[in-house]
Amino acid sequence: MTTETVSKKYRFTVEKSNGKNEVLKFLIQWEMILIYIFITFNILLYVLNGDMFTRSYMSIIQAGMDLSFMVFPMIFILLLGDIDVSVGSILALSAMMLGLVYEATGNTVLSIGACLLTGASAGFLNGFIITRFKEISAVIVTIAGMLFYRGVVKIVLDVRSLTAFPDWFGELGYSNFWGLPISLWVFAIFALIFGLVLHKTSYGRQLYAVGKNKDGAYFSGIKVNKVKLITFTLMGLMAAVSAIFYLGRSPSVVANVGEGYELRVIAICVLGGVSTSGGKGKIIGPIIGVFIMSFLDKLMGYNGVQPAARVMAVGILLVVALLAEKIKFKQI
Amino acid sequence: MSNQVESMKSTSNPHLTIKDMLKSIVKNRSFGLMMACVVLLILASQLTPQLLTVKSLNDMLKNNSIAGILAIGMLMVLVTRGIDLSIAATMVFSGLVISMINADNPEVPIFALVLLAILIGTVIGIYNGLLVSKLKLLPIIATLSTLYIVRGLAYVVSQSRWIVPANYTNSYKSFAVGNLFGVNNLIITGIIMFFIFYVILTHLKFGRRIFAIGSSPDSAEVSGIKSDMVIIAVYALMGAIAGFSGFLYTSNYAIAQSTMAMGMEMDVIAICILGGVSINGGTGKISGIIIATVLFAIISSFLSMLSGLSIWTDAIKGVIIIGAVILNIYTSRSSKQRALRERNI
Repeated sequence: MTTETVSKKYRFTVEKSNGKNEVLKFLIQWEMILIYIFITFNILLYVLNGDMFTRSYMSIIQAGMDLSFMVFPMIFILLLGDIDVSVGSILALSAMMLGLVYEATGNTVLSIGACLLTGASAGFLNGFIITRFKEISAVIVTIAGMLFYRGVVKIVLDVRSLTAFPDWFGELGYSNFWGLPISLWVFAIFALIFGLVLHKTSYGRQLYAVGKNKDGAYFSGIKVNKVKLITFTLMGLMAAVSAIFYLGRSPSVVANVGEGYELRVIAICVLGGVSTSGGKGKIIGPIIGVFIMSFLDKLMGYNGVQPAARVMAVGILLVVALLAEKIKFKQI
Repeated sequence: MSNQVESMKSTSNPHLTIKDMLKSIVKNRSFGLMMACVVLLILASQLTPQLLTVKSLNDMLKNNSIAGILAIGMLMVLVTRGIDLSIAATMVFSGLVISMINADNPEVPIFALVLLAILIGTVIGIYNGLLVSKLKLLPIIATLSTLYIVRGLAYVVSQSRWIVPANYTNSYKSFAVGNLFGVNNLIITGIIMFFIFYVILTHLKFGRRIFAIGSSPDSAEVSGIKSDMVIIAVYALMGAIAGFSGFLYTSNYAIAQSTMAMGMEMDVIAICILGGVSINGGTGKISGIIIATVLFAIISSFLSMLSGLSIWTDAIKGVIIIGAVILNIYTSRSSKQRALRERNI
């Protein structure tokens, strides 16, 4: 009986969706709106700063790439219904570790290994506490983590700055390969990997399941704790990857490296249509969000908006994106 | 939670022995915090003898009373299952605005400036409350965005201008310097605020409603509480307190610029968690906040007095937060177990 009604209903919708509606639906979906915003920013940049547009289009993209690697695991964490505000501090901690190991040994492989290991273990620690004590929300654990990791960096570095890094790091930040920035190529590879993991593997489906209904997921045999632990560790690991690319662009580590990055990363995810209440979102939206963010930043920078005021624009963008999300899911 | 169980038990039993009383005192969370205070004070007095003078105790409490006052508002927000990360920004913004007015127009009375500061804070608080209640945004993200907007606004308004002690009028600065019976005005203000909000939270309908919403939003809604209005009011109160703190802060340090008090919201959250406020809502007491404020004051002045320890501040705060949260969980778990055990008997 029920299958009959379902199939009837299904047939009804199939009949109704003729070509015109589908085109309209495709054109007003969130990802397309993001593309329109991106195009608008391009046009604005072309009109306001024509010479910058033609001369340094690639460098605008490059400027936004260093934090982009943190966006993918942040999507996963938001899908789980959690949040991680410690990513900026983990970035600082891993960058510091890379600098310290390179300073001591001069070994590139060793220092990068130390950097990645530091990031992953910081993420693991977050995840461990979150899964071990179910009563604590990820919010408070990662707030404490944010203070603690930043605190460790402050203890070790104090007022010192680390400036010795492998020479080829600069290439990561500024060089091109086949006409496109190296960081963009790496970003594309990661986007492909994370996209496949999210949309084609069982782990990806588990993320959605846990985010939509944690208890339901648990009773259907998903190891919720394991999924969370993996995701938070992944977040730390990608923060360390971001640290490498950050050093490629500005090769010095001081105690306040990466402050406020957590807001930007979360803002990009939310702008990309990932719901903060978990279970909703795709990988494509935040990818466009990365470019929107770097263009917005440069657009303001070229037109003389001060950095402190630019932060305000990011805050406004975040609120607007949140409201758009609510309107999209018709929750208001 | 545990205190409630204990107090219920003690009232139901007419033959209260001294042993029971001692037991309930020792198991009380506030007692543990007070013991931590005493131990730290003894330790501190051995390591830095200059700490245990009346003057330095006064200073110690003075500098932390603002965080304590902010913690009152944060307590209410946390009880409704929310969080407000924008308080330090609100405080700086309102403090900066009234400082600029005070520097440019010394004839404006201080009273009007304080009212203006509270008004600015309330407006920002209502904005937060609307985002959280009517638009149902996640409190941490909504207030995080407010943090950045208000910080940016402070920068835009001040245009990177610094208000230095020479710019202030004497009456503005004298508030934080003056004292009543040898106790600094800021501490007196803190005590008055603690008292007012103790009455509001424990003896008024509004306070009951806050706790009702925090412990079960659905049943609060069903029982006729207008949750949205209460939540907006809570955030507005938080904003008002933050705005008022803007006056206290600028009066205390006699300086105002847009990047000061960065990360102070974390101190306030740390105080709340240390004081036994549950981050999941529904639980929290003013008495816990008071003791936690004193403990926090001791810790931070301890850190600043021993040379070379000040760079440890952030890491220690992080450890305190996570340690206090885990402690909260163990106490609530054990009190639940105890309650179950009592029901069986």
